[in-house]
Amino acid sequence: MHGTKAANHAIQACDLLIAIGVRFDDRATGKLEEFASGAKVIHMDVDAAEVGKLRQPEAPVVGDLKPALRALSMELSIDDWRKECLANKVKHAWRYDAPHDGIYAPRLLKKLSEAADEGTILSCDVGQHQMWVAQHCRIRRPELHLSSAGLGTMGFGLPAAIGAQFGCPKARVINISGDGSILMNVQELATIHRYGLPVKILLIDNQALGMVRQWQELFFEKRYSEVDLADNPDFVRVAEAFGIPGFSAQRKDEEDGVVERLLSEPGPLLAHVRIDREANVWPLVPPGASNSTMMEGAMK
Amino acid sequence: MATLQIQLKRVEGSLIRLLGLVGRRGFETEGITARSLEKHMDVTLTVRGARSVEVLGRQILKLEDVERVEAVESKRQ
Repeated sequence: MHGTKAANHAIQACDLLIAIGVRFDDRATGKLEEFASGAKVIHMDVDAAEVGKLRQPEAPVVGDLKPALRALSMELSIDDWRKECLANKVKHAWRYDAPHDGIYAPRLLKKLSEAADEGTILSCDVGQHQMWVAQHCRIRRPELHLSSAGLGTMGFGLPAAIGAQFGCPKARVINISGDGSILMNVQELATIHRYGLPVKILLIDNQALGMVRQWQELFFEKRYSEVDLADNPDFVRVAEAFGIPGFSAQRKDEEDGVVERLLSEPGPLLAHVRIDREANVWPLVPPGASNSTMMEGAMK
Repeated sequence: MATLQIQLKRVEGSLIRLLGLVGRRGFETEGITARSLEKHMDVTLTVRGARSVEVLGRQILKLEDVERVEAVESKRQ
Protein backbone atom coordinates (compact mmCIF):
# COMPACT_ATOMS: atom_id res chain seq x y z
CA MET A 1 0.00 0.00 0.00
CA HIS A 2 2.91 2.35 0.79
CA GLY A 3 5.64 0.44 -0.97
CA THR A 4 8.05 2.07 -3.38
CA LYS A 5 7.00 2.73 -6.97
CA ALA A 6 9.94 0.73 -8.27
CA ALA A 7 9.03 -2.27 -6.12
CA ASN A 8 5.38 -2.19 -7.19
CA HIS A 9 6.37 -1.84 -10.87
CA ALA A 10 8.71 -4.81 -10.57
CA ILE A 11 6.08 -7.04 -8.99
CA GLN A 12 3.35 -6.04 -11.40
CA ALA A 13 5.60 -6.66 -14.40
CA CYS A 14 7.41 -9.82 -13.37
CA ASP A 15 6.78 -13.25 -14.85
CA LEU A 16 8.01 -15.19 -11.82
CA LEU A 17 7.35 -14.20 -8.23
CA ILE A 18 9.30 -16.02 -5.53
CA ALA A 19 7.31 -15.42 -2.35
CA ILE A 20 9.37 -16.38 0.68
CA GLY A 21 7.73 -16.41 4.10
CA VAL A 22 4.93 -14.03 3.15
CA ARG A 23 1.20 -14.23 3.75
CA PHE A 24 -0.16 -12.18 0.78
CA ASP A 25 -1.50 -9.62 3.22
CA ASP A 26 -3.87 -7.10 1.62
CA ARG A 27 -1.58 -4.21 2.57
CA ALA A 28 1.06 -5.82 0.38
CA THR A 29 -1.05 -7.12 -2.49
CA GLY A 30 -3.61 -4.41 -3.10
CA LYS A 31 -6.40 -5.87 -5.22
CA LEU A 32 -5.55 -9.55 -4.99
CA GLU A 33 -6.84 -10.48 -8.45
CA GLU A 34 -4.48 -7.95 -10.02
CA PHE A 35 -1.45 -8.63 -7.88
CA ALA A 36 1.49 -9.88 -9.98
CA SER A 37 -1.15 -10.99 -12.47
CA GLY A 38 1.40 -11.93 -15.11
CA ALA A 39 3.50 -14.07 -12.82
CA LYS A 40 3.83 -17.68 -11.91
CA VAL A 41 4.36 -18.01 -8.16
CA ILE A 42 6.76 -20.08 -6.10
CA HIS A 43 5.46 -19.78 -2.54
CA MET A 44 7.89 -20.96 0.11
CA ASP A 45 6.80 -21.14 3.75
CA VAL A 46 7.24 -23.38 6.74
CA ASP A 47 3.49 -23.13 7.41
CA ALA A 48 1.32 -25.30 5.17
CA ALA A 49 -1.77 -23.28 6.09
CA GLU A 50 -0.35 -20.14 4.47
CA VAL A 51 0.47 -21.70 1.11
CA GLY A 52 -2.53 -21.59 -1.19
CA LYS A 53 -4.59 -19.58 1.30
CA LEU A 54 -4.98 -16.46 -0.85
CA ARG A 55 -2.96 -17.07 -4.00
CA GLN A 56 -2.61 -20.45 -5.68
CA PRO A 57 1.09 -20.94 -6.32
CA GLU A 58 2.31 -22.86 -9.34
CA ALA A 59 4.99 -24.28 -7.08
CA PRO A 60 4.22 -24.58 -3.35
CA VAL A 61 7.30 -25.31 -1.24
CA VAL A 62 6.38 -26.12 2.35
CA GLY A 63 9.11 -26.65 4.89
CA ASP A 64 12.28 -25.27 6.40
CA LEU A 65 13.58 -22.40 4.27
CA LYS A 66 17.29 -23.04 4.75
CA PRO A 67 17.59 -26.30 2.82
CA ALA A 68 14.85 -25.21 0.39
CA LEU A 69 16.63 -21.98 -0.51
CA ARG A 70 19.93 -23.77 -0.91
CA ALA A 71 18.35 -26.30 -3.23
CA LEU A 72 16.75 -23.56 -5.33
CA SER A 73 19.86 -21.43 -5.60
CA MET A 74 20.93 -21.02 -9.22
CA GLU A 75 22.31 -18.48 -11.69
CA LEU A 76 19.73 -16.73 -13.84
CA SER A 77 20.33 -14.87 -17.10
CA ILE A 78 18.06 -11.92 -16.44
CA ASP A 79 20.50 -9.01 -16.82
CA ASP A 80 18.10 -6.91 -18.88
CA TRP A 81 15.40 -7.29 -16.26
CA ARG A 82 17.85 -6.45 -13.48
CA LYS A 83 18.90 -3.31 -15.39
CA GLU A 84 15.27 -2.33 -15.86
CA CYS A 85 14.52 -2.75 -12.15
CA LEU A 86 17.58 -0.79 -11.07
CA ALA A 87 16.82 1.99 -13.54
CA ASN A 88 13.32 2.25 -12.07
CA LYS A 89 14.78 2.35 -8.59
CA VAL A 90 16.95 5.31 -9.56
CA LYS A 91 14.15 7.01 -11.50
CA HIS A 92 11.73 6.79 -8.54
CA ALA A 93 14.26 7.33 -5.75
CA TRP A 94 12.99 9.05 -2.62
CA ARG A 95 13.38 12.81 -2.50
CA TYR A 96 14.18 14.65 0.69
CA ASP A 97 14.16 18.24 -0.51
CA ALA A 98 10.85 19.17 1.12
CA PRO A 99 10.18 22.83 0.29
CA HIS A 100 9.76 24.12 3.84
CA ASP A 101 11.78 24.95 6.93
CA GLY A 102 10.05 22.55 9.25
CA ILE A 103 11.12 19.06 10.17
CA TYR A 104 10.54 16.56 7.36
CA ALA A 105 9.93 13.22 9.06
CA PRO A 106 11.21 10.97 6.24
CA ARG A 107 14.47 12.91 6.14
CA LEU A 108 14.89 12.86 9.92
CA LEU A 109 14.33 9.11 10.04
CA LYS A 110 16.76 8.48 7.21
CA LYS A 111 19.43 10.57 8.96
CA LEU A 112 18.82 8.82 12.26
CA SER A 113 19.05 5.32 10.82
CA GLU A 114 22.16 6.06 8.78
CA ALA A 115 23.99 7.59 11.72
CA ALA A 116 23.03 4.80 14.10
CA ASP A 117 25.34 1.84 14.52
CA GLU A 118 24.51 -1.51 13.03
CA GLY A 119 23.17 -3.04 16.24
CA THR A 120 20.64 -0.28 16.91
CA ILE A 121 17.13 -1.56 17.54
CA LEU A 122 14.27 0.49 16.16
CA SER A 123 10.78 -0.13 17.41
CA CYS A 124 7.84 1.79 16.10
CA ASP A 125 4.19 2.25 16.84
CA VAL A 126 1.35 2.48 14.31
CA GLY A 127 0.40 5.03 11.74
CA GLN A 128 2.12 7.40 9.34
CA HIS A 129 5.39 7.31 11.28
CA GLN A 130 5.35 3.52 11.04
CA MET A 131 5.18 3.76 7.25
CA TRP A 132 7.99 6.34 7.15
CA VAL A 133 10.19 4.10 9.30
CA ALA A 134 9.62 1.20 6.91
CA GLN A 135 10.23 3.39 3.86
CA HIS A 136 13.16 5.55 4.94
CA CYS A 137 15.07 3.84 7.74
CA ARG A 138 18.10 1.96 6.61
CA ILE A 139 17.87 -1.14 8.77
CA ARG A 140 20.77 -3.48 8.23
CA ARG A 141 19.30 -6.45 10.04
CA PRO A 142 15.53 -6.85 9.61
CA GLU A 143 15.13 -8.57 12.96
CA LEU A 144 16.17 -5.31 14.65
CA HIS A 145 13.13 -3.51 13.26
CA LEU A 146 10.30 -4.13 15.74
CA SER A 147 6.92 -3.34 14.24
CA SER A 148 3.44 -4.68 14.74
CA ALA A 149 3.27 -4.45 10.93
CA GLY A 150 -0.12 -5.54 9.59
CA LEU A 151 -1.47 -6.17 13.08
CA GLY A 152 -1.45 -2.40 13.50
CA THR A 153 -1.45 -2.22 17.29
CA MET A 154 -1.02 1.31 18.57
CA GLY A 155 0.82 1.24 21.88
CA PHE A 156 3.15 -1.53 20.72
CA GLY A 157 6.29 0.56 20.43
CA LEU A 158 7.18 1.46 24.00
CA PRO A 159 6.73 -2.01 25.53
CA ALA A 160 8.55 -3.53 22.57
CA ALA A 161 11.46 -1.16 23.10
CA ILE A 162 11.49 -2.00 26.81
CA GLY A 163 11.59 -5.72 26.05
CA ALA A 164 14.35 -5.19 23.52
CA GLN A 165 16.41 -3.20 26.01
CA PHE A 166 16.07 -5.92 28.64
CA GLY A 167 17.00 -8.52 26.05
CA CYS A 168 19.93 -6.56 24.64
CA PRO A 169 21.20 -4.39 27.50
CA LYS A 170 24.16 -3.07 25.51
CA ALA A 171 22.20 -2.13 22.40
CA ARG A 172 20.89 1.32 21.62
CA VAL A 173 17.11 1.03 21.50
CA ILE A 174 14.97 3.74 19.95
CA ASN A 175 11.19 3.81 19.92
CA ILE A 176 9.75 5.92 17.14
CA SER A 177 6.20 6.87 17.95
CA GLY A 178 3.40 9.26 17.11
CA ASP A 179 1.35 11.56 19.30
CA GLY A 180 -1.60 9.19 18.93
CA SER A 181 0.27 5.98 19.69
CA ILE A 182 2.40 7.21 22.60
CA LEU A 183 -0.59 7.80 24.85
CA MET A 184 -1.78 4.21 24.46
CA ASN A 185 0.93 2.77 26.70
CA VAL A 186 2.40 5.95 28.15
CA GLN A 187 2.38 4.42 31.64
CA GLU A 188 5.35 2.32 30.53
CA LEU A 189 7.49 5.42 30.96
CA ALA A 190 7.28 4.40 34.62
CA THR A 191 8.85 1.04 33.77
CA ILE A 192 11.67 2.78 31.90
CA HIS A 193 12.32 5.02 34.86
CA ARG A 194 12.02 2.26 37.47
CA TYR A 195 14.59 0.04 35.77
CA GLY A 196 16.81 2.84 34.54
CA LEU A 197 16.49 1.66 30.93
CA PRO A 198 18.30 3.91 28.44
CA VAL A 199 15.42 3.69 25.94
CA LYS A 200 15.22 6.64 23.56
CA ILE A 201 11.90 7.88 22.25
CA LEU A 202 11.50 9.84 19.05
CA LEU A 203 7.98 11.24 19.19
CA ILE A 204 6.75 12.54 15.84
CA ASP A 205 3.93 14.91 16.64
CA ASN A 206 1.53 16.06 13.92
CA GLN A 207 -1.26 16.79 16.38
CA ALA A 208 -3.48 14.22 14.73
CA LEU A 209 -4.30 10.57 14.22
CA GLY A 210 -2.41 11.08 11.00
CA MET A 211 -3.15 7.92 9.04
CA VAL A 212 -6.90 8.24 9.60
CA ARG A 213 -6.76 11.97 8.86
CA GLN A 214 -5.03 11.19 5.57
CA TRP A 215 -7.72 8.71 4.55
CA GLN A 216 -10.48 11.13 5.51
CA GLU A 217 -8.76 13.77 3.39
CA LEU A 218 -8.30 11.53 0.37
CA PHE A 219 -11.29 9.20 0.43
CA PHE A 220 -13.96 10.88 2.54
CA GLU A 221 -13.87 14.38 1.09
CA LYS A 222 -12.18 15.85 4.18
CA ARG A 223 -15.05 14.94 6.47
CA TYR A 224 -12.66 14.93 9.42
CA SER A 225 -13.91 13.10 12.45
CA GLU A 226 -12.17 12.31 15.73
CA VAL A 227 -8.65 12.79 14.34
CA ASP A 228 -7.76 16.19 15.79
CA LEU A 229 -5.24 15.98 18.65
CA ALA A 230 -4.62 19.70 18.96
CA ASP A 231 -5.21 19.32 22.70
CA ASN A 232 -2.22 17.01 23.21
CA PRO A 233 -0.44 17.28 26.53
CA ASP A 234 3.02 18.81 26.72
CA PHE A 235 4.92 15.60 26.05
CA VAL A 236 8.23 16.86 27.42
CA ARG A 237 6.54 17.65 30.73
CA VAL A 238 4.84 14.23 30.67
CA ALA A 239 8.24 12.53 30.29
CA GLU A 240 9.76 14.71 32.99
CA ALA A 241 6.90 13.83 35.32
CA PHE A 242 8.06 10.22 34.91
CA GLY A 243 11.65 11.24 35.65
CA ILE A 244 12.73 11.06 32.01
CA PRO A 245 14.45 14.05 30.38
CA GLY A 246 13.01 15.45 27.18
CA PHE A 247 13.31 18.22 24.64
CA SER A 248 11.36 19.61 21.67
CA ALA A 249 12.32 20.54 18.12
CA GLN A 250 10.44 21.76 15.06
CA ARG A 251 12.84 23.39 12.60
CA LYS A 252 14.77 21.83 9.75
CA ASP A 253 18.03 23.13 11.22
CA GLU A 254 17.30 21.19 14.40
CA GLU A 255 17.13 17.79 12.69
CA ASP A 256 20.83 17.00 13.05
CA GLY A 257 20.74 17.99 16.72
CA VAL A 258 17.86 15.60 17.36
CA VAL A 259 19.83 12.74 15.79
CA GLU A 260 22.96 13.67 17.69
CA ARG A 261 21.24 13.68 21.07
CA LEU A 262 19.34 10.43 20.47
CA LEU A 263 22.54 8.64 19.53
CA SER A 264 24.93 10.07 22.08
CA GLU A 265 23.13 10.69 25.35
CA PRO A 266 23.20 7.95 27.96
CA GLY A 267 20.01 7.20 29.82
CA PRO A 268 16.39 7.49 28.72
CA LEU A 269 15.38 10.47 26.61
CA LEU A 270 12.30 11.80 24.85
CA ALA A 271 12.82 13.80 21.65
CA HIS A 272 9.55 15.53 20.85
CA VAL A 273 9.53 16.60 17.24
CA ARG A 274 6.74 18.66 15.66
CA ILE A 275 5.90 18.18 12.00
CA ASP A 276 3.32 19.59 9.58
CA ARG A 277 -0.22 18.66 10.65
CA GLU A 278 -1.11 17.78 7.07
CA ALA A 279 1.87 15.60 6.23
CA ASN A 280 0.88 12.57 4.19
CA VAL A 281 2.52 9.26 3.38
CA TRP A 282 3.30 8.74 -0.33
CA PRO A 283 3.02 6.83 -2.53
CA LEU A 284 -0.32 5.29 -1.66
CA VAL A 285 -2.23 2.47 -3.33
CA PRO A 286 -5.87 3.28 -2.53
CA PRO A 287 -7.71 0.53 -0.62
CA GLY A 288 -9.05 -2.11 -2.98
CA ALA A 289 -7.05 -0.79 -5.94
CA SER A 290 -4.38 -2.58 -7.92
CA ASN A 291 -0.75 -1.98 -6.98
CA SER A 292 -0.34 -0.38 -10.39
CA THR A 293 -2.38 2.57 -9.14
CA MET A 294 -0.17 4.72 -6.95
CA MET A 295 -1.17 8.13 -5.67
CA GLU A 296 1.43 10.81 -5.01
CA GLY A 297 1.25 14.16 -3.31
CA ALA A 298 3.10 17.12 -1.91
CA MET A 299 5.99 16.73 0.56
CA LYS A 300 4.79 18.48 3.69
CA MET B 1 -21.20 -26.87 3.82
CA ALA B 2 -18.53 -29.22 4.97
CA THR B 3 -17.83 -31.58 7.80
CA LEU B 4 -14.66 -31.85 9.82
CA GLN B 5 -13.68 -34.70 12.11
CA ILE B 6 -11.30 -33.49 14.76
CA GLN B 7 -9.50 -35.30 17.53
CA LEU B 8 -8.70 -32.98 20.43
CA LYS B 9 -6.62 -33.47 23.52
CA ARG B 10 -8.80 -33.18 26.60
CA VAL B 11 -7.19 -30.05 27.92
CA GLU B 12 -8.79 -26.99 29.47
CA GLY B 13 -9.99 -24.62 26.77
CA SER B 14 -9.23 -26.87 23.80
CA LEU B 15 -12.80 -26.95 22.50
CA ILE B 16 -13.28 -23.21 22.87
CA ARG B 17 -10.05 -22.51 21.02
CA LEU B 18 -11.17 -24.77 18.20
CA LEU B 19 -14.56 -23.07 17.86
CA GLY B 20 -12.96 -19.65 18.16
CA LEU B 21 -10.55 -20.40 15.34
CA VAL B 22 -13.31 -21.65 13.04
CA GLY B 23 -15.26 -18.43 13.61
CA ARG B 24 -12.24 -16.16 13.16
CA ARG B 25 -11.29 -17.84 9.90
CA GLY B 26 -14.63 -16.84 8.40
CA PHE B 27 -16.76 -19.96 8.91
CA GLU B 28 -20.13 -20.42 10.61
CA THR B 29 -20.45 -23.48 12.81
CA GLU B 30 -23.71 -25.06 11.72
CA GLY B 31 -23.56 -28.18 13.87
CA ILE B 32 -21.37 -29.83 16.45
CA THR B 33 -21.17 -33.15 18.21
CA ALA B 34 -18.52 -34.00 20.72
CA ARG B 35 -17.72 -37.22 22.49
CA SER B 36 -15.30 -37.42 25.40
CA LEU B 37 -12.94 -40.34 25.78
CA GLU B 38 -10.36 -40.71 28.47
CA LYS B 39 -7.70 -38.46 27.06
CA HIS B 40 -9.29 -37.26 23.86
CA MET B 41 -12.38 -35.60 22.57
CA ASP B 42 -13.79 -36.57 19.19
CA VAL B 43 -15.50 -33.62 17.60
CA THR B 44 -17.60 -33.53 14.45
CA LEU B 45 -18.12 -30.02 13.12
CA THR B 46 -20.36 -28.92 10.28
CA VAL B 47 -19.25 -25.56 8.94
CA ARG B 48 -20.37 -23.15 6.26
CA GLY B 49 -18.16 -20.59 4.61
CA ALA B 50 -16.93 -19.15 1.35
CA ARG B 51 -13.32 -20.16 1.85
CA SER B 52 -11.53 -23.43 1.35
CA VAL B 53 -12.28 -26.07 3.97
CA GLU B 54 -8.99 -27.71 3.16
CA VAL B 55 -7.15 -24.57 4.24
CA LEU B 56 -9.32 -24.37 7.37
CA GLY B 57 -8.34 -27.93 8.18
CA ARG B 58 -4.64 -27.02 7.96
CA GLN B 59 -5.23 -24.00 10.18
CA ILE B 60 -7.02 -26.16 12.77
CA LEU B 61 -4.12 -28.59 12.75
CA LYS B 62 -1.85 -25.79 13.94
CA LEU B 63 -3.67 -25.64 17.27
CA GLU B 64 -1.58 -27.22 19.99
CA ASP B 65 -4.39 -29.44 21.26
CA VAL B 66 -5.51 -30.79 17.91
CA GLU B 67 -4.18 -34.23 17.10
CA ARG B 68 -6.01 -35.09 13.90
CA VAL B 69 -8.21 -33.36 11.37
CA GLU B 70 -10.16 -34.79 8.48
CA ALA B 71 -12.14 -32.53 6.19
CA VAL B 72 -15.03 -33.80 4.14
CA GLU B 73 -16.55 -31.41 1.62
CA SER B 74 -20.21 -32.40 1.46
CA LYS B 75 -22.74 -30.07 -0.14
CA ARG B 76 -21.87 -26.80 -1.86
CA GLN B 77 -24.49 -24.25 -0.73
